[in-house]
Amino acid sequence: MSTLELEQQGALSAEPELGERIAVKPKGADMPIYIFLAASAILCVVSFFVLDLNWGKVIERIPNLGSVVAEMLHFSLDKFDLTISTLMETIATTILAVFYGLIIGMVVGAFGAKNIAPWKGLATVIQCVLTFVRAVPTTVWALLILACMGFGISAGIAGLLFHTIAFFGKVFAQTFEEVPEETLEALRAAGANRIQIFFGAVLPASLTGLIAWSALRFEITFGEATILGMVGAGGVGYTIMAAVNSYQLGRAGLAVVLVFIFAYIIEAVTTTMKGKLKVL
Amino acid sequence: MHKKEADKIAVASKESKRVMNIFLVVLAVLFIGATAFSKFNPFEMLATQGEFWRFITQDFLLPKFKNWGTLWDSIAETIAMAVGSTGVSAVIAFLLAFLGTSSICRLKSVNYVVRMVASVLRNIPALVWAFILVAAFGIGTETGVIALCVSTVGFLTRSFIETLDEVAGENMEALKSTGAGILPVISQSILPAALPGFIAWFLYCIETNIRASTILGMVGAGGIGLLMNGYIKQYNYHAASTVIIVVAVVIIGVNILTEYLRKITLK
Amino acid sequence: MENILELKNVSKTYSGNDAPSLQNVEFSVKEGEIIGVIGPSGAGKSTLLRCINRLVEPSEGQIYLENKEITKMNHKQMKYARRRVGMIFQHYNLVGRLTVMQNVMHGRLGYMSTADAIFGNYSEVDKRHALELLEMTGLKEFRYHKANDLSGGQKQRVGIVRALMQEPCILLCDEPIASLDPASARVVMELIRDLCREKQIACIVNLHQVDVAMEYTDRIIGMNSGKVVYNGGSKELSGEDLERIYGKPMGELIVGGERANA
Repeated sequence: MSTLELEQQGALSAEPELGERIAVKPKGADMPIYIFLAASAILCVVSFFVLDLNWGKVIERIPNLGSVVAEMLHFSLDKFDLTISTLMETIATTILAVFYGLIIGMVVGAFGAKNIAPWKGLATVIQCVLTFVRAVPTTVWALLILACMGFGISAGIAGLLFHTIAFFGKVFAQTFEEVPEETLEALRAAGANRIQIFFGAVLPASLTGLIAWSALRFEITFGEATILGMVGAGGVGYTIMAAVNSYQLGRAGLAVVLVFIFAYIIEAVTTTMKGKLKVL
Repeated sequence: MHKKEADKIAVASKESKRVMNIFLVVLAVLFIGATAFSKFNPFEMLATQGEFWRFITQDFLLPKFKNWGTLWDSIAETIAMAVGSTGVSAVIAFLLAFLGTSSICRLKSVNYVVRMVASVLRNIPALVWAFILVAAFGIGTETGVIALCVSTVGFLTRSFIETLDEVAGENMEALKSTGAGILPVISQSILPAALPGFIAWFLYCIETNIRASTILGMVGAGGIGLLMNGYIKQYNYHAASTVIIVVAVVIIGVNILTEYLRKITLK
Repeated sequence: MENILELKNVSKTYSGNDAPSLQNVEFSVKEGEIIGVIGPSGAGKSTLLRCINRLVEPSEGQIYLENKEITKMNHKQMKYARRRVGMIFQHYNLVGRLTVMQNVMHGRLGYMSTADAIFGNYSEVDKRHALELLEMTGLKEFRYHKANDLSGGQKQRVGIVRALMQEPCILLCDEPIASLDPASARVVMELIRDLCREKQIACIVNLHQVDVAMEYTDRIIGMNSGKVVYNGGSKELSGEDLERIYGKPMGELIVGGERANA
């Protein structure tokens, strides 16, 4: 806030009289935050009125939750090989979706960045499409793919690709746009063309960020890949769903724990990698 | 051979090259392993893409729809689920975060337990939670709300702890050296410094929960997902496409709104 | 004049670290005395300052502040004792989102009842005092600006005012000018010196610039690997002393000031 603005608010007007209260901050300085917090609280309460939840039913069934959890923790090794192979399937799906998403996203991002796209209109169109793709949940994309391609790993990967491509497209476009115009100019002056600029300057400069983004995307995609099984695209999600539906809770519990352990490992690896990457 | 290598002048440090090489090798191994395991052939997919476009253009577009009333009700329910559960989770996570950061709560064991619980809640996807909860509570909106709360509490607790750790270090030292007690330090220094971070994470969760609550319906946990799933299962793709487009518009709208709120509160 | 601070045989070894960061440090500070602490990075200068208000617990030795042994104090007594010790940081450690006035008032939190402190009900007397100090440091017109919007030199002046609001008997300054440009650095050093002289506040300043230490302080303590290797008048510091403090021949040091030409 400039001194002028403060003066207009009267904050600096006169010397405070003896006995008059001295403010420690200008009036209404944090107003937006207070209004925001109050509005959020009200909206939250209103939401619960709209939902009109039947808490009686929930409380009544809390003992159920206890027994379900207890049964799930009573791990069963029944069809354990199937659980493992579907988990592997989910992991493979995740790896491939991230890999292809990264490569396609790179191309999409290059055309979606306003400063290196061949023409600006294309960049705008691409960014709009990416926004739309990301606004539709992955499961929906997967369902649509399933509807036309049938079940299987390929369908799962294709379903996941929508979001991974949109994600990397956006990340790449942003990274490219962050390269200062002066740098591009300097490289153009040195006689580099678009592709040379891309591989020679833009990509190396953003490599660390890129690896961090890939790791983040891997975490998210693994979660999505797990979920996909539940809408019928195979993988460990399908195992969990089938086991719960047939009341083999011990088997489902083991699968959930395996999913958690793998997600936890990814998180741990990502964290250590971030430390290692600082040398790059 | 050795001589040749010596002739090359490196432009990057040896260490960074080594890390890079390891990274590339790991990447290649993962890729080849995954491809071999899944027998995924991208060219096969390209070959069948005609089928996909036929599906999109003929079965999917153009949207046709009649039950607008039901649609709006479901949308309202979805948004209410997301907002309500994010609000409740934020309050719980706010309290947990103070117990989870070592700069405020000195008990290492409490820190550890809070972080561990948050990690379990967060690393299991919301839909999996929903599935488990459906087994206990039966289908219904209640289950959806609880499922969202569970994963959001996990996510927000970790994010809030990170925010607190970021602002606590220097501020704590400065205010401790004035002889102030821990509660005044929290209320006068740490909270004001952390509030923008908290709000940013809260808004992020509203976004992700709107997305998540659209899919929770698929396991019978209420909201617009229920409607969407119904149409897809009935092969009524023209109606499904309407719902999907409406969902996309709502999510884009919410993103624009949160972006705006972020701007005015983070100044 | 009496000693305001006395260190006896103070040592500090961080856990998991063999070499002690402080080794049998002994010195005393008189009322209103300004002391510069110099030494290479890692010599233990920061640790020394933080031991004095026990932000870092000394492993051995006694520290007396105003004739009370603070190394024996319990948590609550220590909080009271800290009010008399102002601290100034290299990175200012202000809450960037709060106004200058709010940051300055943080210096009073230790004197207030818990409830008043939590809700930030600062007394009018304190606020008036804050305005006076802001006036003296030339910050009065910035009092409702956010700390983030200030320049480095201004931020450090806010840090000084915050410390003075504690009504300290001693100021601990941890490299107060290390992040400042030469002009702001001069303003900050002069403020610290003049305010300390005027209010008879003792002051310990960690510094990397030998010429600054010689110009602005009464006495210099030179440290090397946790030990005090020089303790004497700032004007008497010789090239030999400097070589002992920094463990390098003069030719490899940038000392600045007149000595550079000597």
